[in-house]
Amino acid sequence: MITTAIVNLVWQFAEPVLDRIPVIEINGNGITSSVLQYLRAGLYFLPVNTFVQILTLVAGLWLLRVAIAFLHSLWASLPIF
Amino acid sequence: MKALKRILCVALCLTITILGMSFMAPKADAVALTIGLGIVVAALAAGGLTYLVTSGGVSGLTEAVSNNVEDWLEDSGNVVDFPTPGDFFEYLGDPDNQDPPGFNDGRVLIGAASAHLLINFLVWLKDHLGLVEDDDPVEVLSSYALPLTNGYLHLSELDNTDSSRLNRSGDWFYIADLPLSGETILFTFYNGNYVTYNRASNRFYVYGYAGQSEFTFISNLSTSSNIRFSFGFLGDRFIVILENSNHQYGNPYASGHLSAGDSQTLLYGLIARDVDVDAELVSGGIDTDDFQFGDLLDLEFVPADPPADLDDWAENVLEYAVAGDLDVSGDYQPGQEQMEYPDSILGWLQWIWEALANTRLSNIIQEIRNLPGAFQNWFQQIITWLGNLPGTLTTLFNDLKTAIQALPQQIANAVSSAFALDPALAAEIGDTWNGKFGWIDDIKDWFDGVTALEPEPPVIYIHLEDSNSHYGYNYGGREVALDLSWYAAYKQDVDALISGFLWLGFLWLVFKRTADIINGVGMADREAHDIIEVSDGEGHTSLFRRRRK
Repeated sequence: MITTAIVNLVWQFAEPVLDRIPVIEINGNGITSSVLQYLRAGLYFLPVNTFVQILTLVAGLWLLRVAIAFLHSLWASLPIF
Repeated sequence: MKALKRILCVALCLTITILGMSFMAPKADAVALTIGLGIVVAALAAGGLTYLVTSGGVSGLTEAVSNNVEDWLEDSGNVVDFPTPGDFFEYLGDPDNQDPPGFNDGRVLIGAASAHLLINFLVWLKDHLGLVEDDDPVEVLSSYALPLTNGYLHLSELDNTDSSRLNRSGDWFYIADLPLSGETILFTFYNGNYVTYNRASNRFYVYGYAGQSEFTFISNLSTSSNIRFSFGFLGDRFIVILENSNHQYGNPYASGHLSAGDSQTLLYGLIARDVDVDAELVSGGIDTDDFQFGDLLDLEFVPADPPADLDDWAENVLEYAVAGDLDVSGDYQPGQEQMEYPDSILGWLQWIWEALANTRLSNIIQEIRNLPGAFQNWFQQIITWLGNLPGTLTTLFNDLKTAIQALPQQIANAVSSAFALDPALAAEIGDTWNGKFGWIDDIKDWFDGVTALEPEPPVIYIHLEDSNSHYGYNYGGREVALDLSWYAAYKQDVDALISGFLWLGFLWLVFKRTADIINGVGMADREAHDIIEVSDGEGHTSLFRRRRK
């Protein structure tokens, strides 16, 4: 109920903005067939799986910091101390 | 502000306590054990009371109190005890009537003064309807006249008469059908000789020859001739039944055989009927073999001319009863203008018996006798309540425990319902987002396509067969432009080496950022924390950057 009210309030502002964003479609079929094979050849010399794992962890750590910072903000807003 | 802080702290503590209760089953069991001990103590107390009542301890105690009170009242000499109506009749002088009809069974205890009043009442009743009330001896006009004193005929007075008149012979059973002209009432008779009593002159008259007249003396006293008598009212007449208890032996002979002493009172009766003055004596009018006192009492009694002082007397009796220990709570109340008199002697006696049964003294005794039952009922109610107490406490505790255990789930449901997002709104947002940013999935799919081909060494071909020659020249088929299959033998080792360095670098960076990650501090905050403010003591401050270590 509370969350719905807050999200609905935000959504009232976000929805008009989102409506103005055009629908974008990216088709990589052409790239795959010509340019992508050279890109794949270049990436073949790198450990792509390791890159993906580390980037995933970095993104997760960033989300963790955001969550902790949000809790800190809530705690700082309480009139306890 | 402080109040708000306190409220928040209390609310926080209360929430933690409630949530903690559901996870503290051992302590809940300890509470249950404490309540269980209380239940055991209550059960033991209930069992003790049950034993006390069922073993007769309470009833015996109250019974003893009741008996002691009764004994004390009887020993004091101020109470007359009538355990049965038969005892009541025996007190009135009729010991044979042990089961009088129409009398409620019960026990009557009255004060001695009330018993005396009762006797006075009966005497008055008899006197009022025929017997002389004067203490002085009745003047006898003839030599056969007999005196009466206060309705009672003393043998001593009889002794003053001619003893020859006590002699008798022949049949002596008679019911008077004598001439009764106004003031004259047949007294008793013998063989055609009879005695009359003149109410106006208060005299007795003996008819017939003195030598042949025999006065039949009747009483419940012992006589040599086994004579008994009964009395009662018939109409407005007071009649006497003479009965020979030794009838089978023929005529009793009473002459000179009366053995009553001077101090004994011989109750004497009058026999009369509403007959003509000149009517002849009818002997043997009633077969006394089957005629009893109770039969007479059942006869209808309708005073033809109620005595003028009856109302006053009855009212006095009632006033005395109210002032004394008689509690007349029935239909008869003092001061009433109209009083319904019983229509027979038996009715009077029944009224008296009921009135006595309602005396305050009898009620008090009855209440005392009811005490055991009252106490027992009271204790049984307590025992029943105590017996139900364990179940009640157990139910109460279980309900409380269930409520406490269900409380976290209820709180969770309340929180969930409060913070849950409306599914319709979530679906609307999701649809809009997917519609606007569907290209993110396209990129993801493309990227997955790129990385999925990694294990296979790429080989790039040039498709010359796809070329179009304006002049129909054949450039040939597919030619290899780049073949990295040679690197496949080294890729695993090289990837491992590169991945090792990448992981080392990543872990080093994470180690350096650990404090920021835990504190949720970003670069901007850290930069702000590095700025310190230094004062020179003269009101001037300077900002410096903290040196990094």
